[in-house]
Amino acid sequence: MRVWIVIPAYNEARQLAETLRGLLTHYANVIVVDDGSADETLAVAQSFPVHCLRHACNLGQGAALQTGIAYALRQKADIVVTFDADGQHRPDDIARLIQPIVSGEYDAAFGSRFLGSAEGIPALRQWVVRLSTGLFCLLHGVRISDANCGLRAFSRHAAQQLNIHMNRMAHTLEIIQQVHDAKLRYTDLPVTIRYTDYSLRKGQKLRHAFGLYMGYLLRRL
Amino acid sequence: MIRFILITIFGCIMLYALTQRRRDAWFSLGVLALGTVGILLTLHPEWATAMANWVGVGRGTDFVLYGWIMGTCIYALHLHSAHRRLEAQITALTRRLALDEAEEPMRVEKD
Repeated sequence: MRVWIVIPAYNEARQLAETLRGLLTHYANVIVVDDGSADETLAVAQSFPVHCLRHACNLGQGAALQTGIAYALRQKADIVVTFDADGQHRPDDIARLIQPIVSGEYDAAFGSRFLGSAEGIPALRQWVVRLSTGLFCLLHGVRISDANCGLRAFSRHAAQQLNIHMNRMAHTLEIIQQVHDAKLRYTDLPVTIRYTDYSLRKGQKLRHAFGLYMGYLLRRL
Repeated sequence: MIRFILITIFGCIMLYALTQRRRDAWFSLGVLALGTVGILLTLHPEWATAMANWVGVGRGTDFVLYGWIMGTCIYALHLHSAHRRLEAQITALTRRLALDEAEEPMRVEKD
């Protein structure tokens, strides 16, 4: 099975090297999509044996993921994994996510910090993410325990069904919705998310959690 | 004096809209229609009151205000729609460039 890892990166020069070092000890096929960074993100990626793609301008994480997935499919990937650049995810968790896809049991597997653990997550953030996930599931008939986790795995068939239009952060919900609507078999599995000062500062702001959901709803209109 | 200034401004806006008729006919037509209404109401403010009474709004100024708000909302929707189309085009173009200019590592071992 050819496993390809897609990493969207925007101004991640500080953390990207560590993330790639951890990943490359486990997986050979890594794609970094530099989403029009203003820093040395691309140069850092180019110093590793990874496939580098660059957006000429900043479009957003959703757009970078779609570009990376399209490239992985061109490379004949059997499984496509999405992985954040900011060091929140553990490469060890990928094996758990791809296992049900390799066995043919599921088409897509979503990481869940609430089934696994979220080290250093601020209490308020935890409840906001839980609430927004609950609201999303309730209104869209989706069954998922963590709608905002960036660690996911897709079979080639599932990746081919994805067509991410929401360039910014609302893509996290759009991906789940598309998998659900395409009647693909999906599950969520425990993963560990490590919150650091860097990831908290770099990552999505808490006040954007519900804004993300409202943005998703508006874009669907 | 104020009427002269207002009509001059309306006239300039309408002239600009006229020059844009080939690029965006609907925009041009809409602005020309609104400009004409603006000039007529500037010259005959009592018409606004008459129309307000006719539709049951009350004062002419309220009628103009409601019309302005509605026009602004419609234009905002038009702009939003145009922005989304443009964003989709930029995304497609940027993605195509990124895929065409992808850099492969010197040696890749596949799983």
